Amino acid sequence: MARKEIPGTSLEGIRPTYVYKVVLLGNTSVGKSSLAYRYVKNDFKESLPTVGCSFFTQMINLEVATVKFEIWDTAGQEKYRSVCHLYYRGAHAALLVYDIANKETLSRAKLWLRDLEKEFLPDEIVIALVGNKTDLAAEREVNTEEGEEFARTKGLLFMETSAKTNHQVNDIFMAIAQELLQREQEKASAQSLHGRSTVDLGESGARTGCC
Amino acid sequence: RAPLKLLCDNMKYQILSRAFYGWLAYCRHLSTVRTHLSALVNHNIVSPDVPCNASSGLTVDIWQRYLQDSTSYEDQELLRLIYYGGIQHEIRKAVWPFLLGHYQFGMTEAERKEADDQIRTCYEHTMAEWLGCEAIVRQREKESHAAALAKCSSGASLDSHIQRMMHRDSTISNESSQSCSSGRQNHARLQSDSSSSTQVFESVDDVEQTEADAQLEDGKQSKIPNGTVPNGTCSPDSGHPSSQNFSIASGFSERSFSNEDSALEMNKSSASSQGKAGGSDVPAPPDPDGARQEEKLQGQDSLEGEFPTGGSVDFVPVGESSAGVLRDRDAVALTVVESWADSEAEKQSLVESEDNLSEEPEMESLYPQLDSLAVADLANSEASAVSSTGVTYSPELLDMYTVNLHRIEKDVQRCDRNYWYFTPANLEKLRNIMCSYIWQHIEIGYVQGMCDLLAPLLVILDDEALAFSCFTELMKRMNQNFPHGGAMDTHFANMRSLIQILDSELFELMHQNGDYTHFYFCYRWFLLDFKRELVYDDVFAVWETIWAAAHVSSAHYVLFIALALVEMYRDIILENNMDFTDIIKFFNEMAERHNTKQILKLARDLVYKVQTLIENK
Repeated sequence: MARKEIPGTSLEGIRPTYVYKVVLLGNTSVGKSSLAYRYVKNDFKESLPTVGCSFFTQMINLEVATVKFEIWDTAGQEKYRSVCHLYYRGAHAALLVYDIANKETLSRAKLWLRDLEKEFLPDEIVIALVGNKTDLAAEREVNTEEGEEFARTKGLLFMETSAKTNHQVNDIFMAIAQELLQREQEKASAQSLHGRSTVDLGESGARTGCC
Repeated sequence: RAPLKLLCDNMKYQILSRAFYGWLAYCRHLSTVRTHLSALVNHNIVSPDVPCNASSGLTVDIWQRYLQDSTSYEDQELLRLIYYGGIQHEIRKAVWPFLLGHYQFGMTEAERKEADDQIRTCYEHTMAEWLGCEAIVRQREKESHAAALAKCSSGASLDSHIQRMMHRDSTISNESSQSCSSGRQNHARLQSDSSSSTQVFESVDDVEQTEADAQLEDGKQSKIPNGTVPNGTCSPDSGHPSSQNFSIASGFSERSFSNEDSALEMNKSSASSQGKAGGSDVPAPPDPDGARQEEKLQGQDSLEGEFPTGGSVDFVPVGESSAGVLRDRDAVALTVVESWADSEAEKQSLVESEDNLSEEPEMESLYPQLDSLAVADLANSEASAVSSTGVTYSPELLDMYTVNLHRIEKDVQRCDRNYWYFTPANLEKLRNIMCSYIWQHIEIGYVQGMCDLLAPLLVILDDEALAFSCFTELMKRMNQNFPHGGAMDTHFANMRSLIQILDSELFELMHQNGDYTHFYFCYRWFLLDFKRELVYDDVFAVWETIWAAAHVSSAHYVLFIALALVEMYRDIILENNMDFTDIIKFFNEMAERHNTKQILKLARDLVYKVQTLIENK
């Protein structure tokens, strides 16, 4: 599923490294860049509107594996979609971000989901619905239950976050990592039933998929 | 022995022919690249030292001398100075309008003043137009917000339902704003309407709604601002078809009444419009077709951003300080609408409604969701609107503007908040200029990044109208880089050719390390002319060099700056064997840390290198 990098000289060679491409999608100014920035730099800054795409990487060391996230942060405006699309095809995970203080952004996230569903099979991509800006609880327009319910019916991961106050930002990325690894394991065990040779095939297939 | 000789000859022949074809292919390739590259630079090489050393740039002294006697320096000489040495910060405000084409070099002071006045009038006019539109949008939002609140609290969240309601709101506010222009008393009435309509929305909450009921509610709500509530004909909880009919009827009488009012006013104010304005008013339910076409026509007018043709347009002075204007924006919009009434009415009398019969279906498709009752009502309300004032924004235009307005506001709020210049008052200026530009280019609409291009101009020029004019000039080139234009791919292709010719080692690396064909890491550079890569002071220096370079060395100077940025760090890129994503990340991290003086120098050297390469072919 993911690119697997076999560490060369490292002693931790037993633990595999997976590289996953993650893409942040959602309306303008829902906090996509802020989420990425918080997650990667653990800081909050008032960022300029993203034009085109920006790019971050982050490593997570887990017990079973090391995960490297390549995070593509996209511009929220519709017009940039064709530009961004080139760079996030073959993504392994997507965060659909909306602003809990702006109901319209949830509808937009739902549209994004529809687009993703057209492009990916359900087992090809992990999708998380993220209600950002919980620090603006006073201006909340979308109930937690509403997001939760929608995520449940569509089989998405769900979390409410705040990039500003660092609420559950790490958690959502961690949940994605766990989910990806779990799928990796399921796949591996399914493949081992069919014998060793198919494992290699599966992996080389994924390699072309993500470049 | 003979076969051996034959074999040798054969081999010799093959080697020679291969070498020859290889050489031929190489030459062809080089010549294509050369013809390609030669289009990127000016062939005439301008020296940095002739007639004098230009490294100190355009100074205050030189500029003073030029202003006193425009023959003392050639334009080319000034541009050469800027290209090699930049502009002293104190005179940037004065020189930039020349560089951007707001003024032409050699203009006398009087001519420049004329250009200024012209642009100021144009700017104020544009601003008046969109302020009028904005007033309607705000009104519309106030109403739909109240409605949304009502819906929210009742728990019935039907997205499509709300959308439909908003669509109808556009007709409400169309009408309400137009009725406000027919007299200040009407405006007062309008205000009372909107407050009462809010009340009604709230009382609607309690009603248990089925989908069908909801539609009826819609119909009712769209009628409220017509003045039915003050008339006391519509009880808040009436959801029955019969009462709906009733409210429509009362709406009619109310409207025709106000029409008579305005017709009277027209007669007083403008003799020429008397006949037509009065005439179209008299039938209480006027011909809906004609009215719709008139509406459509005017919608188009304002869409194209053309000014009313009549020279008699009485211009409403928009105050110098925008803050003042904005504080009572509604009032301004109101007076604007009033002042337009005359000229538009005159124009109307020239319009033959039959001319545009073919456009009717289009108009109808605008209201696909309306039941026939509502359509009839709509047509009538528009008829009264057009004949009473003449200023109409088509629902299409209103919707388009609303979308853009929201985008602009979001982006203005977060534009360079940390830079000292952008106080709330100056952000307001930024917003005004952007709205004016977008109003004139509504078919393109606002695209994120445009604010970045406007901000440095405003910082230097510190004048709304001037910055507007210069921004319009700048955008003529920059527009193509946005996703709706096609220039970005050309830039990438050119970068590729340049790197191939000038740094084959780096080109090899880029080639072998994957898909570099997109040169994506340059995307933001070209889109915003390096604005986000550099700190403000450096942006000024780089921008003026780009503008001057078009006349001195290359109209594609941005390519050479990009190339200089890549070359500056080529060793790091090579040593670390960076791939596609590494390079993007690297330049992201390096943003605002570049040595701009060095980069500009390197860029000039690279232009020179290509120029000599072409010269020595």
